[in-house]
Parts: sequence; C-alpha cells; structure tokens
Amino acid sequence: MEDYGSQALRRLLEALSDAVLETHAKLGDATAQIDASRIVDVARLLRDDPDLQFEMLTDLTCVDYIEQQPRFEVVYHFYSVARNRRVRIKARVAADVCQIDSLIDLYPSADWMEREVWDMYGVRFEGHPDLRRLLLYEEFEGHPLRKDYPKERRQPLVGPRN
Amino acid sequence: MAVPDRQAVAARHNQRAIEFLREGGDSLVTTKVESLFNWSRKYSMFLYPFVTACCGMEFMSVAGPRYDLDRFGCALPRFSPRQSDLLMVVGTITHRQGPILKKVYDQMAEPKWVMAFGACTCSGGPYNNYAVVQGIDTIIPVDIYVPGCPPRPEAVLEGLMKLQARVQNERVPADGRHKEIDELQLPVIEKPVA
Amino acid sequence: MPGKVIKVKRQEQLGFSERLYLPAIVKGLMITGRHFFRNLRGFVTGKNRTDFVVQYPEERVDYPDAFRGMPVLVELENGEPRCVACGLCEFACPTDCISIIPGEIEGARIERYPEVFDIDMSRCMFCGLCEEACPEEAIVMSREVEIGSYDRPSMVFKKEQLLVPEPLLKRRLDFLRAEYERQDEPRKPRTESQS
Repeated sequence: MEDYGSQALRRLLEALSDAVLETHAKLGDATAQIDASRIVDVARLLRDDPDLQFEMLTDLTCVDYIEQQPRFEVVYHFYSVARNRRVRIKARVAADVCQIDSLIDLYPSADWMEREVWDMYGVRFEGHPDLRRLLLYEEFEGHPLRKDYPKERRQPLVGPRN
Repeated sequence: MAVPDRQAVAARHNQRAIEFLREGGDSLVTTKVESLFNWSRKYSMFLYPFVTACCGMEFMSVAGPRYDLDRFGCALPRFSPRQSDLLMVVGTITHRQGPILKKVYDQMAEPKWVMAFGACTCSGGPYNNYAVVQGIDTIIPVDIYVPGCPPRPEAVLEGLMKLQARVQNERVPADGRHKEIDELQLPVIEKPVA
Repeated sequence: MPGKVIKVKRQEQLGFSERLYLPAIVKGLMITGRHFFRNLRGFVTGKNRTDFVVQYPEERVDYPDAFRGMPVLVELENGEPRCVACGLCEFACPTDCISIIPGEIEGARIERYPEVFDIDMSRCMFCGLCEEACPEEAIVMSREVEIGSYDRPSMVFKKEQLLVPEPLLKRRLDFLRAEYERQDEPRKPRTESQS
C-alpha cells in the first residue's frame, strides 16, 4: 500500500520495457504511458501476472487534446481486488488513425465503455464484436465530445425550426 | 422521426370538413354528438407527465392542492402512455432523450394531445447548443405551448384552458385535430398587467 | 431539562365502543362533512371559505413586488416607447431572445427609437437582466405570465404587443427605484450606526 502502486509499474517495466514510454507514481496515481499498439499485451500482463493480478477494468475513457499530436488519449483504470491496488494506463491515438485494439477478450466490462468512447470520441476499437453507439442514436452525426464539435450543430433527423 | 407538415395537415383537414359540410352530411344529431364527445374529452384528460428537468417542480406545484389540476378534470397522472390522452413534456429534451419521447408519443392511443411545458420544450430555451433538441415540435406535433422558465402555475392552467378550447372545437373522429386557430373560441381571462 | 413533561395515560385495552369502530367512522365523517359543507356554503355565499385552493380563473394570488413576469416596454403618454434602442438589453440577454433594429427621427428631442423590438418569449427565461441593464427604465418585468399559445410564431412578441402604459407598471417601477436607491446608499460604518 505504501508504495502507491509503483511496485506494479516496476514489474510492468521489467516485463514490457519496450511498450512503456513513460511512468510516474506520485500520491497514489500510478500511471504508465504506453505504446497504443501494445495495449493488449500490457493488459494481459496486468491481468495474468501473479505479482500484479489486476483482474478488474474499472474505467475506460478518453481525452481529446486537440492541439497535441497524437490527439486522443485513451485512459484505462485497472483495479486489483486481491491486492487493493490501482493503476492507470494511458495510450495516445493519432487522429488520422483513431484506432486501438479492444480489450473485450480480456475484460468483458470493456464492452459498453468502449462503445461509449466510440460514441463520444469516435475512437474505433479493433476487435470489438458490436461497436455501435451506446448513448446516442445511430443517425446522430459526429462525435459530440470532440473538442472541435460545433457548438450549435443541428441533427438531420430532427426537423427544422419553425 | 419525420415531422408532419402541420400547415398541410391543417389545410387537408379543413378541406375535408368543408367537403363534408357541402355534402349535407352534417346534421343536427352528428354535431350534437360531436360536441358531447369533445366536452367529455376535454374534461377528462388523463395526463402523462414526461418530466425530465427542473420544470417538474412547477408541475408538482400545479398538480398539488394549491392550484389543483383536478379542477380542470386533468389530475390523474397515468404512468403508462397507453392510458393517457395528454402528454405533458416537462423539461429539457436532449438528443439522447429525443427517441424516447418519440416512442412514448407513438405509444399513446388516439385521441392524444401534447403540451410543451416550459421554455426548453418550446424552443430549446437557454440551451442553444448541439445537445438539446431545439423545441419538441421538431420531433412530435405540439398542441399547446406554455413558455416560461419555469412557467407559473397560472400560465400552465391558462394553457390547459386554451387546450380545452381547442379540444372543444375538434371534429370527430379525432383526426380533425389541426383546426385553424381563428375558429376557436378562446377563454377570456382578466389579466392585471402590473 | 427545558419544558415540562406531561405524562399521558394511554388506554391499552380497547373499550366496547372502540371495538365497534362505527363511532370513530361516524366521527371522522362528521369532521369531513363539516369542512365540506362549510366550504360549499363558502362557495355559494363567498364568505368564510377555509380551503386552500386558488380558484384560478376567477381569483388569483397576489405576487410579491419582486415578481418577474414577462418583460414589457414602458409606453409614454404619446404612445411611443421610452426605449432609445441602445441595445444594452440585447447584449445582456443570456438567451439572445431580444432583437432590436434602431431607427432615428430627425429633429426630435429623443432622436433614437426602436423600429423593431421583438422578444422571443419561447426562449426568454424571465431573468430580469435586461431590466437591470436598461439605463432608461424602458424595459421592465411585468406581472404577466399567461402567454401560452398554439404555435411558435405567435410567441415572438412584437413592439406593439409589448408596449404597456406607464401607469399600469407603477408598482414595478416604484419597486425598482426603491431597490436602486437602497443599493446606491453608501454603507454606514458600524461605529456610526451604533452611536
């Protein structure tokens, strides 16, 4: 507990040093910036390694850094019930690719969270069996939580103002 | 979610009514039956409160004992759209909520009426952005608009009385609902301005 | 311990009349009936009503002075608005529901006037910021709230619909002036008020 998850980061660096770009663990926010193409490997290690045992994916979300390159950052929060530890994995996704591998085979809880990220940010999850919009309807145009979404955009299915 | 062109619908119904009158089919008996039907409809509205936002507080105030919707025969909220006549859309309708509202409206049995309660349902109100539907009449037809943020109970009751006037002037069967407003006999309310 | 403790003797065994329940029912019905007939007589004669309901179209509650209904334009005695079309209310409006097109009269005492002054009541949220922004006391919040309508275009109020003669708005204007006076008053130091 007193290492604030840095132990987990050390183990991660040992096993997959080529995938991890940057880590920091200060005041309990153990975070690892990783290469987006290796997210499945990292997640498998986190789940299956006997020293780590992160068996729960509590949150999956996305941030739009519109002025940076690569633009999107997909954020995964893992929790280890056995060891009561948390770790945060961040993966940058470029706007022109906008694609990352799905974690649904490892963590079934990723299903709806990935659908929500697709709905709101338009990041595709490769390997997701049913990547539909979760919150909005299918005919909604655009991904509204992107920072460049026009503020007063109107939707085609909703009738004109009279 | 296609929106019916209300003007065209109204014109069609008026045309049908005129043809019906020309054929001489409008006897004393049918008009009396019509007005009896309409009278019973307007004083026994079962409402479905589609409450999504802060206007719901004002809806409770109207439905409560102080202002008492029951005096207008409109008190009993049915929490099933199939049993209700009046859909009160109370509060902001977002794009997320839009298909749900449309489904609720489609589930209601004819004859049905819709009241847009509050500024957000009338026009989107202060929320002029991508997330909020700019007026529910872009999704479903609306019979009476009650603007206000939120509207006072008096405003809602006056809107209800206007709706009752509209119902009284309808033709049976109820598909003749979109009548021209000039033909309606509106309730007269003495209004102190200041 | 504050107050006085009163011991209440509770009747634990029901007596014969209580076991019958009928006297209690009759008693309850008598109370209900008394209120019913009293209010019925009150409705007929118009006196001594005890019910809580506001019989709306016939009677209405009196709003407090600070009540904000729909915004209206103050009409001067010559039938013109007091507004000088400065556009401050348009700028202050958080919902952009006011639209003004100014016009000019050559040689008049007040040259500017609003040619068009529309308020979209379907968007207005009765916040009163236009009234606060107005330097001329030309737009004030009235006590008018019943503006339900059958279609959207009729909820856009034109200048002619918005004009209200000044004497009718006296109550609101008096309230506003008192309020501004109170705000402008310099706050007295504490020692001064104590002495």
